[in-house]
Amino acid sequence: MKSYRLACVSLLLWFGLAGGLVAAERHLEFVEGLRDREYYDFAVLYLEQLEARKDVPADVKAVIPYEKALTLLQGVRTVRNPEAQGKQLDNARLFLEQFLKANPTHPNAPQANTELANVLLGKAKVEVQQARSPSNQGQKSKHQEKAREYIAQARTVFQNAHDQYKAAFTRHPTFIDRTKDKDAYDAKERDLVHYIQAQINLAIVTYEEAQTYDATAPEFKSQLGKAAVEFEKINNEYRSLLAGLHARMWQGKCFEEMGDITKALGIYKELLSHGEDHRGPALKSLQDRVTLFRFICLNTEQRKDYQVVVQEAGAWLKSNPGAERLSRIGLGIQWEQARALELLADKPDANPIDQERLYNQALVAARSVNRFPGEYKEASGAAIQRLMRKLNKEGGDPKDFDTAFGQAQELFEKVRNQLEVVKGAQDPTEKKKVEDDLEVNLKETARILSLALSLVNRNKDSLDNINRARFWLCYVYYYMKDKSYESAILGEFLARRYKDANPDVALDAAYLAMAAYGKAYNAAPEDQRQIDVDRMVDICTYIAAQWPNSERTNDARINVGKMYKRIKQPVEAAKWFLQVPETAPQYYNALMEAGQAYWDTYADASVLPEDKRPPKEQLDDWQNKARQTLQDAITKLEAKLPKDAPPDRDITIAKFYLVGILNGMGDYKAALEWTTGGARSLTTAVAVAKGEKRPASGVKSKAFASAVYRELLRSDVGVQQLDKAREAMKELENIEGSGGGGAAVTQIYLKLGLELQKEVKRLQSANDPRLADVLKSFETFLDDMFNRKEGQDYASLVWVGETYYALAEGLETGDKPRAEGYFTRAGAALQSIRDLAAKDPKFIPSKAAETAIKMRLATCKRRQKSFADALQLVTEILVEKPQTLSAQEEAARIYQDWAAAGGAGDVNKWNLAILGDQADDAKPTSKKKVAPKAEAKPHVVWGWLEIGNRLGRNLQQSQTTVNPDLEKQFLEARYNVALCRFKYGMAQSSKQKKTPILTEAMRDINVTASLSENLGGGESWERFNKLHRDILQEFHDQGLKLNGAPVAKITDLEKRIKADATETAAAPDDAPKKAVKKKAKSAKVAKKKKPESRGAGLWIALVLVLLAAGGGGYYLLRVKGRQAAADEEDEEDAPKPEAKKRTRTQSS
Amino acid sequence: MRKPIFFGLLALATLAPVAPAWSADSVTRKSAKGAISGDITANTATELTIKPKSGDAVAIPANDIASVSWNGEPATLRLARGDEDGGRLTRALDTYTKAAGTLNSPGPGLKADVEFAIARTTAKIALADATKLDEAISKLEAFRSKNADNYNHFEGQRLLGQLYMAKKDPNKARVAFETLGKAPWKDYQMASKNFTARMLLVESKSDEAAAAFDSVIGMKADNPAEESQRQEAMLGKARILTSQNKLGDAVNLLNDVINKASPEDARVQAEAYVRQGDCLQAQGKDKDAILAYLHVDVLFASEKSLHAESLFHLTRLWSKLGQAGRAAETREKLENEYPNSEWARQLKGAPAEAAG
Repeated sequence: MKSYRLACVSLLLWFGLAGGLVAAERHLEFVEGLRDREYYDFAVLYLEQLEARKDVPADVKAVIPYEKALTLLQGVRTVRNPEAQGKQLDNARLFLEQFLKANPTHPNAPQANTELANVLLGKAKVEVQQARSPSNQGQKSKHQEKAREYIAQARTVFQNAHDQYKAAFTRHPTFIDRTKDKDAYDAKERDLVHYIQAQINLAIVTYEEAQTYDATAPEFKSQLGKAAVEFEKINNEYRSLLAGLHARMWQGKCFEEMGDITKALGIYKELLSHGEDHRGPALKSLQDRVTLFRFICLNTEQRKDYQVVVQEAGAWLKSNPGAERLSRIGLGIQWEQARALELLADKPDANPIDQERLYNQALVAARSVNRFPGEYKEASGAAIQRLMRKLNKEGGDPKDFDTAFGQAQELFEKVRNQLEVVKGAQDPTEKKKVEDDLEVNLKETARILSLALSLVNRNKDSLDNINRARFWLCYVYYYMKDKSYESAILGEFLARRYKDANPDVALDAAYLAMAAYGKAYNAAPEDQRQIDVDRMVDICTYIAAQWPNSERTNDARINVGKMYKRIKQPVEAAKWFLQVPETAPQYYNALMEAGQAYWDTYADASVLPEDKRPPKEQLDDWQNKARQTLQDAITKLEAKLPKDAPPDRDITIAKFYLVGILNGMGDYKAALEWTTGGARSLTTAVAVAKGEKRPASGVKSKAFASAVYRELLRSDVGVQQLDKAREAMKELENIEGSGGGGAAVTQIYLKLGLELQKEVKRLQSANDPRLADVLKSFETFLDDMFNRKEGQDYASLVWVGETYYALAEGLETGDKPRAEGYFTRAGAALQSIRDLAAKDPKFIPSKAAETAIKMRLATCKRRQKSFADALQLVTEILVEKPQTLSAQEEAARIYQDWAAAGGAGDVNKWNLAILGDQADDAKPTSKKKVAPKAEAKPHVVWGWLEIGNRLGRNLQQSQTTVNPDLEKQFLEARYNVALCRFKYGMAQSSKQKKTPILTEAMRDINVTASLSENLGGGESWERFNKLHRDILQEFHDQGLKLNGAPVAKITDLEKRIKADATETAAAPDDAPKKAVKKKAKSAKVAKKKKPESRGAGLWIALVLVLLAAGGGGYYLLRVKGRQAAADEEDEEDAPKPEAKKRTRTQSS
Repeated sequence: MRKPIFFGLLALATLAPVAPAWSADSVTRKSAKGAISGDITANTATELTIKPKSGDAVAIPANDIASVSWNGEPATLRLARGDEDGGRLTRALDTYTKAAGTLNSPGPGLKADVEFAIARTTAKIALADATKLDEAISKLEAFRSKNADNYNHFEGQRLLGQLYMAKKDPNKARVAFETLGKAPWKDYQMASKNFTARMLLVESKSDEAAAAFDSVIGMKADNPAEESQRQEAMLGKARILTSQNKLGDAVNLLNDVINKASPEDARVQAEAYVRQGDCLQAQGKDKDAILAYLHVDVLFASEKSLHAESLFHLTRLWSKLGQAGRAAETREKLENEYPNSEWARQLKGAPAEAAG
């Protein structure tokens, strides 16, 4: 979309020129002339000189700030850098305020007020420009929203002006005899002009609002349609005035941008027919502009009237040989002619001779345009390069920088478009296709840009273009795999070396460098990340020093703060967050981030083992700082608001975080005060009128309101306001709604339970005496709820069951007896649901919920060591739905825990855990015995081995990306296979029996290790490693031979990281897939793999390796014909055990 | 944005066609508001006499005539005059020429007026385009020979003198300026002296020139026209100061001219700014010089010769300041609007990198 933004309109200046100021000297007319030529710098210079001169009349001096403001306001269009634009607009505002303060009754004062609105409109345009910038895609909607905020403010000012001018105009008598009362007549004319101006301003605001939406958004068209109607109304009212014709022209422009070219052309044609006898300069100026707009329409894909443009533009240029052809419009017409010539030559049916002639003509025209500064400079520059290439008979790679630069520019545009498409792509197949194309284009663009830079002729080529090429390369590298450092280095080079010559490029480059270090950080192994952190901090420090007031700088500060937060350095994080100045829009967000950084670090550190845990003073300090920082943010925010102002979004969010922290600290009373106290309390902020639908996002959304009430419930329970707590529960249920078979309500209690579980763990780890109080308060509340007969329903019993379950899980590692007691109470609540459902089948809202209750009860029974009961329950589920993965895992875990807890008679339960109920007659280490038998009883419980195989198959089907949760489950299953095997081996009395089983366990680990990079890393790797060492230790201690050789030394598992630097330095999401690829390759199983379907091929390899590892033949047969998806749980409505919980086993 | 698009547009100007032709002769004076309508009854080298419908005939001195409209003149003449006033000389000449072709049995006054308008416009063009000098001289000489007793006679002599001066024909120029000096009005006599002094300057007779300028400066000015001539003389003096490298004095004098001359006196103002630009440039104050020359480009472009001169300097200065785009812009303007001016020729002779 070509941006022909509406010009700011300033009519009072017209009056000014017509009035007294011009009579003295022509100072202001000269200033206007300079602005007219876009010599804004010299206009400001001249105004500064006037300011210093003593011979300048006072009336001229008085308006100098106003004139400066107008100059800055108009000149902002020529400033490239959005930061500088924003600064210039701020300066314009300051000059306007200075003028208004000194001259409140000046005739230009009302217009100065209107210009203040134009400043806001200018700010909105800057935001729109930011939103359209490819480097801001992540912030796009934020900039668009900000633009709309400015536009709303501008509209308010314009609307007020409109109402006042309208009132002033309508106060005049309908008829005034000019000859009898000239003053009254002139006053009415003046008010009419103001009134028309005000109407036009409002229509402009609507047009500008359209620009704040993507061209594909429905609002874009609807706003343009609205603007078109407003312009039409003005035209209808004042069609005999030139202002009416201007409104008509912009109505046409609206249609043009809406894609209704025919309508637009109709309007343009009508406008061009005016004044055929004689055209005054004003009408001619309007018609020249209309002519340009018409050419733009004719050059569209819809019309393709290129020949008409070539001819008519030629005629226009012939009849306007002087300064007009160099005016903005004249250059625009020349540019459209150049475009038409090129497009004409591009036509497939153009013969080669004509084509070359047309390209040459287009080149001449583009060069003519390119000689002059302005909005066509860049586009014509690119066209020159493009046309040179099209005329290049030699072919092959460019031979000079300009040609390569032009070629790279086109490729770069293509890359940017593809990035947009990838971002918006919904269909995975389509997305993959574009991603593949993008990868190819990124490489080619990088190649051409590198070539361009190698062809630079320092004496000839423009430094501006050279640096743009560097920036593009930096950008392209950023999106390429494994080029983060190249991107960062290039970005830093530009940022540091050319901060004066190309400040706008330098800032963007610096920011990109910082992002590139961030990307490198993500891709690097944990122990090699410090360098990225250092570099990131370094470049951010530089950004802050060079561009201290830039919005980008504040974004950079927040990014570095977040990075420190992530690596658990809250003090450093807070230091960066708190560098964001109070005047910045990100300030409060930064304060909240700082508060959170302290809290998260406290929360994480407080659950560390005692030897690794920071001292209590440190923990307390973080805790207090978290609270204090957020309180400060809220106090500052509230101070900015009038007392009776409604709750503010930022304040509400800050309060919510603070309440979470206060609840975590056990200061429930304070939490309650923030939640419910005062006119801007959290509960007030999230409240909606009865029957009003909650919005999808924002503080009144369901998600946020629900989170607020969970905190309230927590506080109420904390202070033992049980009735209030029940009220909060009811409100929570209201917020979530009652549909969906109770799923929504259940989800609330699950979330609550998890939060509580974390808290309990934290308190327990820290030996915090508050633990007893927390447990007591919950016990009291839950028992009260459980024992209450009145109002007892499914939701309240689920709440009791889930909360006891969560408490039990939280206490399990530190206080087993108490945990078992809570499991019992959870089980009782869940059993109570089943009992009531037996009497009233509708008591449980859905079948899925019933299954889920049964599952959770089974888990409780297992935790209570009632293994037979647990198995019974889970078997019931599996008989009905054998492919329910969570039930299969639970069943395997029951056997595993049973084996661990049982006596000598339960040894074979290890086998059952590994092989499921097939193992009833089988021994786990014998491959032969796992073959299916025709008369075998139904295979209900799979055991860990088959679970692992099925998950492997499932991963195999994820052709493009590897689901990390699925991989975790896979590793969990594989770990338990090895663990159960080890335990089973350890239970053997003889070395002969023990050796093959332990060997098999070792093999389980090695196979898994060869398939998964670093075995999931972190805790997952450590867990495998510990088991590996335990097995080796057993071989060593017992003098057993592993694969025929004694074990002399206990070694760690090899850490397999970055096997291939070119493949593994990408974002962490890619890591599992790559590692699997790599290892599968090393296993030399999957030799044939197609590059384009690596994911699939490698997972096939994985399955084959697993099959080869033991028992696979049977499973290969078993899985044939089955549905691929291992997890077909239909449990959306039911309480689900958290996926993460699956990583824990009772026995471990 | 280039220009607030509604400037002048909301002047509530309607799109109605231009007004019908005058129904009587009409003379607009420089010294008084409004026009006198009636029948022009006498037309001499020194005055026009007009008899209004009521009242006595009024004799208007030729040096006070701002414009004349004739009964029955084509409406296009007004457009041509508007173009001429706006500096659109080529278009004005074209329209005057077309209007001359449509005159249907015109009276001698109208016929002579159109003829003079064509000659005058050609002369104005020629002052910035040496190739048109002969044509302009020829037209003015033809007018002079046929209309010695026309109110435009002395104005024609002024233009002829300037044209001959531009053609470097001092003898004929001197004759024309001497004739100008015979006009009965003080401002014309002052102008004659000024032009003569300028010719002395061209002939490198600085002292004589300075004395001539001083004599004009010392004269008492009783009306704007006479004041304008005083300012012209001060400009001449400033030139001499500049040539003597007394740049500070020259700048002060020029500032004085700029402040005292009427802001609508385009010729004086334009020259004052050009000379000021010259001084500032010589002082190394390039940005200030640019601002001075820009005054001519922005406000006084109707002074063709001086406009071309200022464009020449602007082109060089923009280039010097690294503003290649602006340099190209002014260069293009100079080459398009004044392709045959000495300034365009000078620029072509200059190395490309120096000229933008």
